[in-house]
Amino acid sequence: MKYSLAIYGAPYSSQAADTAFSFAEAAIARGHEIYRLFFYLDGVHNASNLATPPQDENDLPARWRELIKTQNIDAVVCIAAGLRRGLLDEVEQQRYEKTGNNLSEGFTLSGLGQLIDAGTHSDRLITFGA
Amino acid sequence: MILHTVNKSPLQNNSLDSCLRIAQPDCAILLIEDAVYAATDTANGLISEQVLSLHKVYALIPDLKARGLLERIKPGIELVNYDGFVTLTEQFDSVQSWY
Amino acid sequence: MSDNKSFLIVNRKAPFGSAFAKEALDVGLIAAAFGQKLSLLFMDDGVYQLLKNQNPSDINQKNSSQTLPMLEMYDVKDIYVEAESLQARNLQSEDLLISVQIIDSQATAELIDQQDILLNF
Repeated sequence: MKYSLAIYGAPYSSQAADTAFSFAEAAIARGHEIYRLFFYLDGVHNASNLATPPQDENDLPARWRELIKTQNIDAVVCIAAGLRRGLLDEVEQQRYEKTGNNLSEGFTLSGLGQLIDAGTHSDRLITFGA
Repeated sequence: MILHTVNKSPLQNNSLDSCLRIAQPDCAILLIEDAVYAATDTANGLISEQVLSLHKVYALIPDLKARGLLERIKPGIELVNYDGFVTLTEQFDSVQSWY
Repeated sequence: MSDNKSFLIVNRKAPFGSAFAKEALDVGLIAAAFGQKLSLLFMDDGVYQLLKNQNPSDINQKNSSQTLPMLEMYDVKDIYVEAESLQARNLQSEDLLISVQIIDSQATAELIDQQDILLNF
């Protein structure tokens, strides 16, 4: 089956994103496809390449990057929610003349239409809320 | 039929209470994250015998283990791993997430 | 894009104290603009999103409730409120900004069961 996950919690602030990650891994292990990961609300923070947890802690943003790369997953960060919370790619950095950008490789900034699209094209859309 | 997931502790947040008000018989309820405290055997917990007679109630093992609850589970609640979580989502048409 | 699946947005949170109310409404407007079959459900503290006379200017937030009437412009007419949630908060339909269908818990359960895609906020 095709699964899409809507992730609304920031890493470290709640378990939502961790639960979503473990679910994604388990779904893949059962032979399912992850159609899209959609990061919205505080979930956008999962896509930051500046997250620097202590070495003995779970580096969730890094694990997302790895999973997205090895499984070729479409990982979308809602652009409005991302900009508001300081998640920018190079394009938005230029557009708003900001000092940096921090969107992790493998993620794209896009609109809420991608969440709707995930709903219409997946067999299951599951929300992981904080 | 719906799989309901609840992730908040029942005494801290009304999510489980609302879920139980809405969940139809034959829907399943999966307790995850802080909601696994509701899976413990307490005298006046929300997961009553009546609830268990209407719904299959599951609790996520990694969350129970994290919180030191594995020896305190109310009889009648089934324990699952993430693999079981995925399996439940296969069996039900949609997932209603209460948080 | 539309396979004619029905969407239900479930709103359970009060406005302003968290971002859920506003960001759920944004999803609703996009779904409506894309011509999706959309219903909205307000229950628990979500019913507070519909109260008249909201004025968040002194807390530096936008008044999302003012965008609610836009839903009707997009032909979103299936807006439901759970009766028990209203009663628990001592509210009636006259207190609400838009016209809604007030349904009991049983009907709420059936509504949730009937929709293809659930968006939970």
